[in-house]
Amino acid sequence: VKKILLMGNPNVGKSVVFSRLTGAHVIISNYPGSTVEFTEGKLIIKDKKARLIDVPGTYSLEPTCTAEKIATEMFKEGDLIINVVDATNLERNLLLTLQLLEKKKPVIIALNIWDETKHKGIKIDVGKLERELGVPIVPTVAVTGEGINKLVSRLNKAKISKHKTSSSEEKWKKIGEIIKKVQKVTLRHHTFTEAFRDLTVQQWFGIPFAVLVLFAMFILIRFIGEGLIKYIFEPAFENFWSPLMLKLSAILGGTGFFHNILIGKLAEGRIEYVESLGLLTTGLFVPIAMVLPYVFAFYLALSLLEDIGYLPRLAVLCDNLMHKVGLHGCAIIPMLLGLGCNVPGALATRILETKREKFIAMTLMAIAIPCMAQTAMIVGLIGDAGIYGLALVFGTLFIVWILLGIMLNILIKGESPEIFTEIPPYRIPYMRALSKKVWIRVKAFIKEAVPFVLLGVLIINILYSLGIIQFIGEITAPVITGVLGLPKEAVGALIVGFLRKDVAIGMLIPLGLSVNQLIIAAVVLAMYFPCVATFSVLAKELGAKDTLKSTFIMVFSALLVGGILNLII
Amino acid sequence: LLPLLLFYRKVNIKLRLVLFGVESKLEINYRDMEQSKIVTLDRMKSGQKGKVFKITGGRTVQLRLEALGVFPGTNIKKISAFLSGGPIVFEAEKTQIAIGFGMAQKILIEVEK
Repeated sequence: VKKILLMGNPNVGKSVVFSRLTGAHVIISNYPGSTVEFTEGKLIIKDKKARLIDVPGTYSLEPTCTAEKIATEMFKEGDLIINVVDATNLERNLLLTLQLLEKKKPVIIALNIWDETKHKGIKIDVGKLERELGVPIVPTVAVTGEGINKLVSRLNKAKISKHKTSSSEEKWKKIGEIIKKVQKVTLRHHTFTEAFRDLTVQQWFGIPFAVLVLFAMFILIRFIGEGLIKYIFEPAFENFWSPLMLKLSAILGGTGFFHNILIGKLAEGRIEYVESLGLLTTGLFVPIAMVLPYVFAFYLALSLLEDIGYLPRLAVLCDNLMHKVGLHGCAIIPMLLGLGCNVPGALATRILETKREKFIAMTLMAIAIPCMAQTAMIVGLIGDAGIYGLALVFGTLFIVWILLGIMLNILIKGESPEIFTEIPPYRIPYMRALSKKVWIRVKAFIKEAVPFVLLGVLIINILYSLGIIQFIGEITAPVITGVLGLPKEAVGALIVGFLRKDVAIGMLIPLGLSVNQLIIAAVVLAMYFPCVATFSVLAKELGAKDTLKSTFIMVFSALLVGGILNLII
Repeated sequence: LLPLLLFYRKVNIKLRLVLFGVESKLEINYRDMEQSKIVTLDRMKSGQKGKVFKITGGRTVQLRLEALGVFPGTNIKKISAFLSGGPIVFEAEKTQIAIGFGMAQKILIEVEK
């Protein structure tokens, strides 16, 4: 099967082209040992199947960072290259194009974002550019699909260019000549969007604006998440699933081992979805009706910010803050992803350059960034008691994030590299690509979360019926009760927390804790250990020694912070 | 708090001047820079335009900037800066780039009058 690579500078619309070309057959996969995520899909050209790979964006084939190294490595395996070029920024894009051309692989160029050239007063003579470069060029507007069919029909015309190897100095000279011949720019006035784009990276306007944006996102997530739970998922479970479960309960005889595992304990003949701890009740209700709506809402908001192009600006605005914890602005992106799920968040720390940064970022994330599953459950559990509890939980985690980061920055030797990033222009998100991205992320959540939740519920049932949890509860009572001020039964939640934090928080409900105890339990559950999926990523990315260090910091800081909270609230 | 902040900035700027004096093995010394309109990127004003004169950083910095089309002769415009030591945003041709303060100190710009 042929391997077709989509290559180009970051942010030229490769992924939109990818989404257009592959239709619905998209799978997400992690490239083994790679530094960044890449996407692969199937493409059918004239009944022949091909693999289409969305290579991470790179400015050059001379790698200066790990992400670019991966792109360069992947380039070697490609049979055909679709070079996606930003028509509104031809000059800069041509460096990579010339580098690709001299590597003697068939290349076809998609001159993307073609529609915007008109607004920007840029005129490009495509025929002339084709002759200059010696490969076919198709102007495209991937967001609307314009030119995509032509691109597909001309894929087999991709040619090996006759360009010879040259130094980059020669290339820039050559690019200057080409631009002079093929491109005419009519001067025009600054547009409003340009003025706005410059304004959003000024500190006096940008920082308050960022706070506003994040607050709006928070409101949006809460609104969508709450709405979905209240009006769709809870009624659906109550009205359709409960009768079925009650019937099943009757068939199983209302008690017994299998009844306990599948349905759990009934509360006066009714099904209490969070407390019953059955596979078909709690095991499905927690991930689907309590967590999924928030996960969906979060990824919708995040993907929106990503596609508009706001994240790099946020990175610039956060740079000073991030330096305090030994990272730089770009580390805000893994942190934001971590708020959705720590697993992709931890994987995304690969964009950071040094081992030191990765260690700090992953440790901080595992300890003080609660994933959406946790957040949704905390909101569901403590939110009823008012904003006080929520503010205390998330405020504590934020303070821990800062203080621990400052300490790690001082204690771990080495410097933190500086920010270096392009800031793309704002773009209007393309709804189809956006919804697809959200769907892929939500699907990944369902695939990962549901089995682990079920496993967690199963294990806790078995441990309970064997009396193991009660036994551990007795042993750990001095710490759990003495230091944290929680009842010894809470140890069950801490054990399940290794597997899934959402189920663990749900398990606190039947314990009848006070609000303050709930706050302490939620903070400790967030901090003491990441879930097993995140932990395995940590172990893989950091190695055994650093993972051990990180784990020690987690357990120690969780007990410390939990103990302090117990004393002061 | 405000006087404290101002004092901090003043000390910070002075410190940097001292450091800069030491760094003047950069082939161009500080006094020349005052006269010949050549400043480092961090000392430009937001909105000011100029032309890259020299990049004195290491090979990697040069490579990364070059891949984005920033090398001696490129026209640039500074977009924004942040409180002492924060990142610097500038525009080169049509690309906006954010770099750290340290890197900005290593980019010499011939500013427009």
